[in-house]
Amino acid sequence: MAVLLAAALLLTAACGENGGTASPGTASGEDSPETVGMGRYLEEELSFPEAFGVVAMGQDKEGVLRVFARTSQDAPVLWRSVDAGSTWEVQELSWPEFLTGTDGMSSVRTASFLEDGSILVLYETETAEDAPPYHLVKIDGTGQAVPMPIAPTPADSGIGVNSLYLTESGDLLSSHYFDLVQHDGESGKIKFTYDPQTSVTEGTYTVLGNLLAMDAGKSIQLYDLKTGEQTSEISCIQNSKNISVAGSAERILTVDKEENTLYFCDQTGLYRTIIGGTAQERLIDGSLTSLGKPSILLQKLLIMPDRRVLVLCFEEGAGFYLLRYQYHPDVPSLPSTELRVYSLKDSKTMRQAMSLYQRDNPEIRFVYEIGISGSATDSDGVSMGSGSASLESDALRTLSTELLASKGPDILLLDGLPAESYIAKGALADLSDVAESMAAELFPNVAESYRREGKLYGVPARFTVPMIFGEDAAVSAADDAEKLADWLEAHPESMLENTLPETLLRLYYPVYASKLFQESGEADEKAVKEFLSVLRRLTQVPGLMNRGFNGDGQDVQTETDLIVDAILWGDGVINLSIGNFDGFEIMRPLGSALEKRENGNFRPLDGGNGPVFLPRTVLALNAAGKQQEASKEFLKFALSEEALSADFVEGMPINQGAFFQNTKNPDPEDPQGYYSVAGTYENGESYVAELFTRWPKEAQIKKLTDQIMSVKTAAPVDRVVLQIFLDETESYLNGDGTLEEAAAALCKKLSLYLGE
Amino acid sequence: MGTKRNGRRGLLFILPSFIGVSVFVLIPFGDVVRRSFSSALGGGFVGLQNYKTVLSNKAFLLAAGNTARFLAVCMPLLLAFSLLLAMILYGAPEKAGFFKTTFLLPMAVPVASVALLWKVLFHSHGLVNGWLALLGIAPTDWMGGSQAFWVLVATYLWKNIGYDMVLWLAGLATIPTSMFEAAKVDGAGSWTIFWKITLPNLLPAFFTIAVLSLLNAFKVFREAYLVAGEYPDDSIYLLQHLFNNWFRDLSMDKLAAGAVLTALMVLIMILFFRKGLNGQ
Repeated sequence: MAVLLAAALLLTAACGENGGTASPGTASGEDSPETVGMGRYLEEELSFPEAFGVVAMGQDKEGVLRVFARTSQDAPVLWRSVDAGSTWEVQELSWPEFLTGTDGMSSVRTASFLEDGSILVLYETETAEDAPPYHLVKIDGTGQAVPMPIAPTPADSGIGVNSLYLTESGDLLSSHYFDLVQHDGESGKIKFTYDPQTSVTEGTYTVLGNLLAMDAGKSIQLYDLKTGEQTSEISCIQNSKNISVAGSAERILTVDKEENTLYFCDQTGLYRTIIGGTAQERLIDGSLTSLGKPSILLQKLLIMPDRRVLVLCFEEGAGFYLLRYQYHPDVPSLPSTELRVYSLKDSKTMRQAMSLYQRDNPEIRFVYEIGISGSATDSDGVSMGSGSASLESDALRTLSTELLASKGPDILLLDGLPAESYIAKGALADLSDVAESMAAELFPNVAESYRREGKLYGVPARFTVPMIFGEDAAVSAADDAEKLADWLEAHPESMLENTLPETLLRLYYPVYASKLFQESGEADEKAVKEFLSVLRRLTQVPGLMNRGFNGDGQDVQTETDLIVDAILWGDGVINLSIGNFDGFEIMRPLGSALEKRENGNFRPLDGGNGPVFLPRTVLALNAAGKQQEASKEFLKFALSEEALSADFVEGMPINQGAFFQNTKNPDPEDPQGYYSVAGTYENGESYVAELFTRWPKEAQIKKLTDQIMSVKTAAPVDRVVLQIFLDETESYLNGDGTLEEAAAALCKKLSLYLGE
Repeated sequence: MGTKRNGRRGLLFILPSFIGVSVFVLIPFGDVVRRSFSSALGGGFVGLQNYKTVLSNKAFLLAAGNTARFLAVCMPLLLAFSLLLAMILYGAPEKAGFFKTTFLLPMAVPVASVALLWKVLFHSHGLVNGWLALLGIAPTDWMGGSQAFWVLVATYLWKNIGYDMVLWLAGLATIPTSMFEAAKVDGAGSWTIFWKITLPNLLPAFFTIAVLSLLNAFKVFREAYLVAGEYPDDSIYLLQHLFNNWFRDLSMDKLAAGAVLTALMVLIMILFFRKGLNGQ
């Protein structure tokens, strides 16, 4: 009996060994490389013969692909491909006037292909005010336009129609971004409205007979078109949890009528399910293909008769292109080499680099582990809500366990991790050779941020610069926070956008950090007092978002949005803003605001010791990693122009090529600019600002880039120190307690942490 | 021959336990001892360097001092109060059932709920300060000052007093009632009976209760951590805070040395109890 008990105990212990394999946030497949089978869909990227805007794409019963598009001259064109997108030819049609734009009044709103190859086109005219705004026609194979008896209308909110679908019963489906409307095919009356609580575009719904399938975020909802009632739901929670929060969260759908099968595709891959069944099969792992790229916008999914899969994509800078997937039975279902990448929070920069690299290196498989996926943290990994700090610590302890067991990830993003401690413990490998091989491409001051005692332990893929912009007099006077406070107090009519203590502390702490500590590493209480005193003064100047707003218990955004601020300043709502310059999207509104305000200026934020930059997406290599060479090759790619060209507002790229590529006007043929609106409110009073935003002039771009490139001092933020600052100064900066009490408590806590 | 066979059979009976203890305690602790003489990631042998570092570390000295102070205050209080309650209930067995349940209830409250209760009670805008304000007393930052230590002591007593009381009651039940009756017949008073009969007969139970209370005292860290985070007020910064933070930062070298020192101290205390008991 005792022997049996002992055996049972041993067996139990042995079973527990490999119990917890899946790390939270793991973004790749679940199969282990040891049990890999054969067969995988491989990806090809296919470009269209000419850069254009795709209006509609479809295939006929023979599998001939057709794309109805607008050329760069805004002329209609119909492309045709008989080889699943490999080659294209123009199908000549005699287009009616309202489509060519020669009538000067009409413009195409949206279109849809019918099974017979004809095109259903919705266009709008500008003249007749009382006439219905939309006209629906069918363009047949010769270009002849046949008016349809019915036409959809804009939504009551004024939102226009963005997609069409003609059902087998003759009903017309039209979507308005937030809903889908079913019109009676004869009378045109609205029969049913479907609201999936997510955006609706052409690819996000599909029809099979009387069945309508719509993406609803965490699920796919199925409706009966006869009754308008929801009949069932297909859960996609397992897929949704791995989709990056602000990326292309759309899911595109299509049906295979012959197989009665629903296919759907999102960032996590391509899936299929038998309609009416319960099981889902993942055909393509998104992390092994470009589908995982956060910069990609999925537009349309098609299954060809030979079972090849086509995905129409759009990407900023790249325009429209096709991804084609073909099943190869002789290729291992999983790549042979596995690289594990860890970051405390989701990084689109890393997802982009992994997807691009994986496509060109099919033997590499990435496992992306996110320490605290979905929780609210700022760019430094510092919690932005109560309870998040303990989550971060839990994640770090989990990582420590793996590193101590020599089972840690191959690549680490040091953002929010105790980088200096890792360096001191020898957990990170020297990346000098990686940086040296790319020396000509990288900004040297940024690349050297983590050099300690001759070794380079991390290379930031991106960096941000704390900036101030607004009225020239204020910006010129703001040599440090004290002088900024002096100027604002002397000009009480001027408004700083955000005077929330937490915001000011997050922005100014990195700038002042070098002043706040003595050479011994101890906090300098005198300097801390001066710093807190100045911050308190700044919290009391007029601000659009201030303590009064915070005191209402509203959910306050503690990180400033410079894009919104630039529009607010351009329209005269505020006078000044400070924030982190972390992407190039700001250039358009900032340039336009500078042009409009005339007396404006901008400069990096200064604490009296010169401006600083904050390293972001800091790439590091686990010294005990099993794939050192493969990891280094990937890191080189992750620092390349190709990997860093996309702007995710996660910081500016360290790669000079990517940096300067982003300073070029992405839309040079649009001199009119974009109409931009920004709004905010305080204590029930709303502020709305509007601005036509155009790309800045060369001189402004040069001044901005020169300023950014002149910043030489790195200011890595210690997550724990910043959290202690936030915790211990909250009362004082919000008007309670004395400076002495706050500084003493702060220094005591810092001493404890630094003493550890 | 038969004794040998019985001995082997006995070994087989303790084998499962021994394997479990070895796998989950002895072998990991052996690894911790090994790491205490190694660099952080288990690389090279560094001799006593980690111990020197730890013993000169301000945070370790503070945490060790706080932990020792906490034990020195809590242990006598807990043992005395729980014994007092046990004696009262032992004297009134008809009401003991209800009170045993009442005093044991705090043990059934999950740690997370205790932490929430703490926050509600001791937040700067919490209930306790609200009650004090009604009495015209200025509010206090309960968790941000030295009073946090006494809040922690009170919590430990509240949570563990029922458990210790039940253990004392079990100890009391082992004393033959005939001894009390004989003493009464001989004219001994209650106080004399307590000192001369009850207490000496409770000494075997005392050892178990003291060791269990000592080990339970280390668990109070959970409440302190959940309420005040990784860096609470200095007065309640305990060894477990430091160990957690060291582990977070991958300072396994210091953590291992600190853990070995702590284990040694606990062992010394247990041996001290044991020696005291044997001496009696």
